[in-house]
Amino acid sequence: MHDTEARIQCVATTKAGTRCKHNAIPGEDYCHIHRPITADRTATGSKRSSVDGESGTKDLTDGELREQLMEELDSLITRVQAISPDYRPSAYASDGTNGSTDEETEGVDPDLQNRILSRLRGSINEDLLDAETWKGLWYMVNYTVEYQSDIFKRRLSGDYDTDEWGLDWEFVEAVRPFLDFLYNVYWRIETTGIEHIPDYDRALLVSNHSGQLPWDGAMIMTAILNEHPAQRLARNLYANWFPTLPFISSALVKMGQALATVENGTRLLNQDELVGVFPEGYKGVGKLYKDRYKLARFGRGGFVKMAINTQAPIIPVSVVGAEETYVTVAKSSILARLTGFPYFPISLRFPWLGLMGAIPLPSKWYIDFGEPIATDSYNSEDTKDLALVSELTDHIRNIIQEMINNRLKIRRSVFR
Amino acid sequence: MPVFSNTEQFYRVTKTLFDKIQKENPSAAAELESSKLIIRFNTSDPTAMLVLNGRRHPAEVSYGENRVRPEVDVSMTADTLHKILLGELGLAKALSSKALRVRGPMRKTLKVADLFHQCQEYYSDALREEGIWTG
Repeated sequence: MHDTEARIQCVATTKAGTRCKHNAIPGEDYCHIHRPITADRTATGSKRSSVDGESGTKDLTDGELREQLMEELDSLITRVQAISPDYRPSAYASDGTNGSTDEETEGVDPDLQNRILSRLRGSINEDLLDAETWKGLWYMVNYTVEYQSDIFKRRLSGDYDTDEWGLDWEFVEAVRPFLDFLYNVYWRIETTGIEHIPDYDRALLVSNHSGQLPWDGAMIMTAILNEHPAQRLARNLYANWFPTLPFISSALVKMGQALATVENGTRLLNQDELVGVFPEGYKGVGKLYKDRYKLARFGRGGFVKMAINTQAPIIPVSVVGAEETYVTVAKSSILARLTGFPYFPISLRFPWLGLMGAIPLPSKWYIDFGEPIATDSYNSEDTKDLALVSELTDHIRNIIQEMINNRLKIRRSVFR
Repeated sequence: MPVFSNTEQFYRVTKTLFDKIQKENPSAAAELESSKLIIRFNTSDPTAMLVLNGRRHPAEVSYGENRVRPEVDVSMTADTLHKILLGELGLAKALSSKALRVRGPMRKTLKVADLFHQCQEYYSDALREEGIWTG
């Protein structure tokens, strides 16, 4: 009781604006909470006032005040370091980053040092400190959500457009992130010769076929969508077995692909579309691993007739890497008959691992588009000349085989 | 009264603008190329179409009808574009008030943020060169 009476209440004001309820330390005006801060402040204040006294506040510029503040901070840091000599700033703190940057750039030539530092500076985006940026980002997210939900609602109510072939661009855009992932990350595809594909005119892409499932067709389509300046969509013609696979049928149609018939191909070319064909057919996709990159027979030359009839240039395409996505060691004709498949592959993983065996291996792919082969020197009558059709078919086949061989020669390995 | 009296005037100003950016800061075109983005701007009052194609080397700006399928489609009035480029109207506000409509993956447009700032920087000069009041 006596003690209580003897002590004085702390004179400091709290953050809430009320008087501090603690007792002051004996002999002082402040409690143990407010004393150090206030003491420092008083010290700073007195220092500043002494400066003020010498030269006057008006004479102190912002720069000088900043210097004073920095000096005070330095002295504080020195004091803290004296108390805890083992303390080192974290590598993620600004001091730590500066220190490690200095160390790392010491042995580098000045030009490179400048580039590293300017790059580091560029990573600190001042826009991030601006409230408008965050507001804009919020609007952008909000807008994207609205846009996506609008698409979702329209699709539920059937309010979306398709072309006469069933191509649904919204569907293509929806599956594109998955295709992009396969293209950029999973198979790390490198594409060359994209400039051989016309911007608007018709053309017939003729490619080798491999890999048990038609991933090569999907990747050729993605390559053109991603790399071509006019972002064209290749309309691949697929064999009539693929739509019997679950979920594949409607997906193929929505992605603008069409059943492989001469009529469909001709009609698409007459509409100035870019049409993709795989003349090897089932013989190509059902190839054994030991026969990889040896082109099978190119059918009866239906694609040549299609190109001549529509005067569309033929663009040879080679896909390297797809052969290694499934390592097929044998084929079972009995299982093929029982399941209704055109071929039943037995690979190192299928059917032993069930559907897991259908997951392709992440081999490294190359897609090369060759120079267009003009067909405008022929006319429809020439398609009746079977010798000519056969000769042209073999010519295209040889070109593609050569493109594959050239690529295989420079390929480093299956996965790199 | 609209800022641009006709489509030709709008194309003249935008062409001057992009030529200026190409001359003053060629790296802006490189940014568009590296983004591989195709953006189409559709304006009304006057009706016009601009396509920035980052898939071409060098990046290409085309004026008028174009069959290239864009990844991002931006629609607005020419006056809205004018205000945005002058900095009188913020992008966020234009979006929220639906004065600016974007179709396609909007996040991709962030890749060409620098080009947008370049457009803002040189737009008033382009207006001046074409003899249109800048305020």
